[in-house]
Amino acid sequence: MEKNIKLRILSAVKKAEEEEEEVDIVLKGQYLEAYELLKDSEDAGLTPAIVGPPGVGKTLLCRYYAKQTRRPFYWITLDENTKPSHLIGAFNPAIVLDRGFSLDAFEPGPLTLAMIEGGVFVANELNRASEYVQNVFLEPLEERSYYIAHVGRIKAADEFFFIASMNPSELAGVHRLSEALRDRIHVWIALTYPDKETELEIVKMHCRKYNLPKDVLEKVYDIISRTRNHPELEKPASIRSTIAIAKLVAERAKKTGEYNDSVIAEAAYNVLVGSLKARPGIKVEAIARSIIMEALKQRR
Amino acid sequence: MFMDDSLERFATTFVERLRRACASSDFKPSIRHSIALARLLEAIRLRKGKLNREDYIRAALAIVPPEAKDIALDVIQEIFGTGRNFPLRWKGFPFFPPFPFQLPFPLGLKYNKESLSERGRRILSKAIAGNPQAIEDFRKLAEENPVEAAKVFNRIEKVGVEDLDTYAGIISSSIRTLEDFYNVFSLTRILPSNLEEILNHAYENYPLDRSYKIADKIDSIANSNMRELVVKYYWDRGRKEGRLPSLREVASSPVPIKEWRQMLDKAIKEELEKAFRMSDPIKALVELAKELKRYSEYYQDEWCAKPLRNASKRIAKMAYEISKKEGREKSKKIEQELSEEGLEPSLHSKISNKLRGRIRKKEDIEKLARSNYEDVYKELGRKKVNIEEILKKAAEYNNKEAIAALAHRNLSNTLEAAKKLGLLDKVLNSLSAGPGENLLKEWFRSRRKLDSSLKRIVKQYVKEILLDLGRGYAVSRFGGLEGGPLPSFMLKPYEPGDDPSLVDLEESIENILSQGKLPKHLRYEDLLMREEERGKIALILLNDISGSMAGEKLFYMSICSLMLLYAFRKEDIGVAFFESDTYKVKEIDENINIEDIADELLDLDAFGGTCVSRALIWAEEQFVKSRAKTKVLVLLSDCAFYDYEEALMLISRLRRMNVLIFVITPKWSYEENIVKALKGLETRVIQIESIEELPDILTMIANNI
Repeated sequence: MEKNIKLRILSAVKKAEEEEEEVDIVLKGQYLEAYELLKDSEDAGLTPAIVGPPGVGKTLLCRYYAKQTRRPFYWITLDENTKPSHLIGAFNPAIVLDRGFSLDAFEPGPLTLAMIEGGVFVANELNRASEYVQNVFLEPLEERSYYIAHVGRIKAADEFFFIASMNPSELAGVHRLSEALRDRIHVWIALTYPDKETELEIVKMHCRKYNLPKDVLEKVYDIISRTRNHPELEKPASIRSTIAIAKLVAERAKKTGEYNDSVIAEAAYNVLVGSLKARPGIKVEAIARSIIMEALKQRR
Repeated sequence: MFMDDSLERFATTFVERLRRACASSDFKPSIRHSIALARLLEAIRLRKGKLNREDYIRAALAIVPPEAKDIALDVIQEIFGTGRNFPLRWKGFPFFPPFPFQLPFPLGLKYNKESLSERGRRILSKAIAGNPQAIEDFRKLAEENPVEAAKVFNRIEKVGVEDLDTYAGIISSSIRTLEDFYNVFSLTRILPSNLEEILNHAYENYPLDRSYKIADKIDSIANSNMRELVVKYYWDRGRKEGRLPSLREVASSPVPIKEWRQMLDKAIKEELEKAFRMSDPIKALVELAKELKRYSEYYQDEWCAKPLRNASKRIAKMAYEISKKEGREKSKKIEQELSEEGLEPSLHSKISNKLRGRIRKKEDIEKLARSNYEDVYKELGRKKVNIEEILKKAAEYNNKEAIAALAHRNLSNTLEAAKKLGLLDKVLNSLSAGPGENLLKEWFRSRRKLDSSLKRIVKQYVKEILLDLGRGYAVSRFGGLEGGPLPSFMLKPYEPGDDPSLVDLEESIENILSQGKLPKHLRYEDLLMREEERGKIALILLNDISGSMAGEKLFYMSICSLMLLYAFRKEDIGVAFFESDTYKVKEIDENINIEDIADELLDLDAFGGTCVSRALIWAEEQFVKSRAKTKVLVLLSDCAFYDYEEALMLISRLRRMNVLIFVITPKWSYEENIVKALKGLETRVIQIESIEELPDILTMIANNI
């Protein structure tokens, strides 16, 4: 690899580490309650799971919790293709062939790192992992230890804290938590889309540099909230979509100098067509258009 | 109620009651939950200094997994509530008898009595704890989601809070759609305050038959006349705006009022004009006459059935008269086709039908009662018989074949006669004699005439036959139940993150040796792993269940569906039905029993218009979801699509995704122009005439993938 490229990579890693230090969150309403429950769970020695639809801030809350409690933060998003080695780590086969199963050849995964460093570990979409992978968590949760072949048993540091996170619509059917794992989760913290006031505050926080007018934000929220109650939609818009629309509107207004409904409609459409999921056979494009039109018509 | 020093008492009381409440659910609260609750309450107390009612409620809810949170709320209500009941709010519309059709499955009216959203739970917790913020939160929820608010209202009602009327008023004014009306009313018995707004929403957003179906559901639970109001509204607005519903929409939405009749006349007129514009108007008229007759047979209400029947006869006669101009052979063929449907177009055919042979003589009955299945079945097709007499005799001779032939020719009358003669068990035990196809065909013709208990019993027999036929045809081409395209294993290079335990050492060593590499030169990708190639084929089956598919076409469609499901059951399969709505039966990644699909197929009623676009969009989503390399769409339909322009556009889009498309149509009745257009889009159109041709469909699909 060229020296120049290596330097750039190192600089990018450093930048990413610095950025990770900043965690912006609106700690009120359901988020405050959830934060307190996380704290109470840890104080009581209980394992929590956060259950909520995508994009409501589950991971962000955990990251914030780790930061507030000054611990390293590790997380992984699981799915049916995740393997135990993605969590625990694996031996580098090339090094193993050269030097045997020495500790040098072992590359630890995020769960192992969180256990030995006493970090906060978040298992995102835990229920989507296969039962084979779900079983990996049993020992760390019950005994706070894990046996790694060729290395031995590792014991978790006292500060190690495990948080599961899940999407409620996927808790049934094929994505089921194994009974053994379910039994080891003691506290179920539900997060949903926040109320209007909190969501607008979150959007403002992400759009600080734009200073968006209140009525524009309200219009954007109105569009988003309609997607959350639309009978033809299986997956509505998340807070990420609200933020994306607000940012797009602000950028466009910077160029044109005005915030009008057509700018909002265009931005909302471009974000919603990619983020909504409709019921079988229904076109997302048509729903997005009608929601935007209705919302803007009613606020006029 | 519970002091800070009795956390354990609250924890054990709550868990004990929860255990009783969860007796029939999968969730089994244990001592672990009591300990967790007590520890959590203790942690909250240490943080806050003291505990209030909301803390107890919140902690109790927190230790319960999502699927049991509603039961936990019931237990909390039991512990903290007063249990006062709230009177019904229903004032009642004028009574109107409910429409007798059974819908294939729910319309997407999506209330689930058991579950509250997290937001609903929070509002309920506040209401139980006496927090005044609850009403404001409830108002916001009702504005956004009246059904969810109705569920919360139901629970608040049980606790017996003050301001119950305020909550009810909020819900009433928040209902704006027919679905919300149905869902909210079925949960709370609360009526909407603005009916005009609801009707306007329905007109703007739904075709008439869809609104009618929802109105019908409302009427069946509320003794109301919503169907009448819906039909009137569509007629009034449609006339003003020149946007009247199609014939199939109107025919699927019968109400005995003059507006419906006017709308029907207008729709028939339009359909006639359309038929005359077709390349083969005689065929179009014959199909129209048959379709109207089928609709007329659905209705119990004579007032609605009569105009359809009359129009059907009129159009049949029209077709016959025009066919006379094309020669005697053509007119004879049309006359015969119409007569078979009970639409005798000429005086001659009416008389000849009346003069048709009847089996009356004692010796003829004796002879028939002792004949084999084929002879009896054939004879019954040619002559009218007294079923009761033959059944009695056949039972005396214990001739199961003759009894089966009677039932396979006329199921409802045979079962009725059997009931009268006390021979029901005998007839039911004989049903499996003779070819199952005939019973299946007869099932689709006359199942609506059977009473519900008999229907349930006969359905079991028919289901077995359908499953056997599907399995049999699949096996005939793929040679065994373990047949079908086989899963294969392939080797792939190791990638960082792969589980080293899955490395195929033998293959890897051979690979390394063949390259002549030393250990220090090894790279990750020199190691080989075995990986199963999953979901080689994604197959989507779209079944047309619109009005034009009634009768024999449904019979073919059911067997064909089952055959494909068996043949490709190891692949990624998705199944949906469509008419003007789309009903998903199985998503591509969903596990569902083939028997359950057979159940759905046997309960189908072909009805309504044909809009295939939504089903095609659903299919497209399924293909995107599946990672299979080969994508196959099988469309079982006569292709009488209303939305053909959009459908063709979607089909060409699917072709661009490399989806192989097979359209299976009955040879004797399909929409020619659309089929031609489909062929132009490189879809493979398979026309079937008889059941024996079904396995050829498999051959054709298998040869092309």
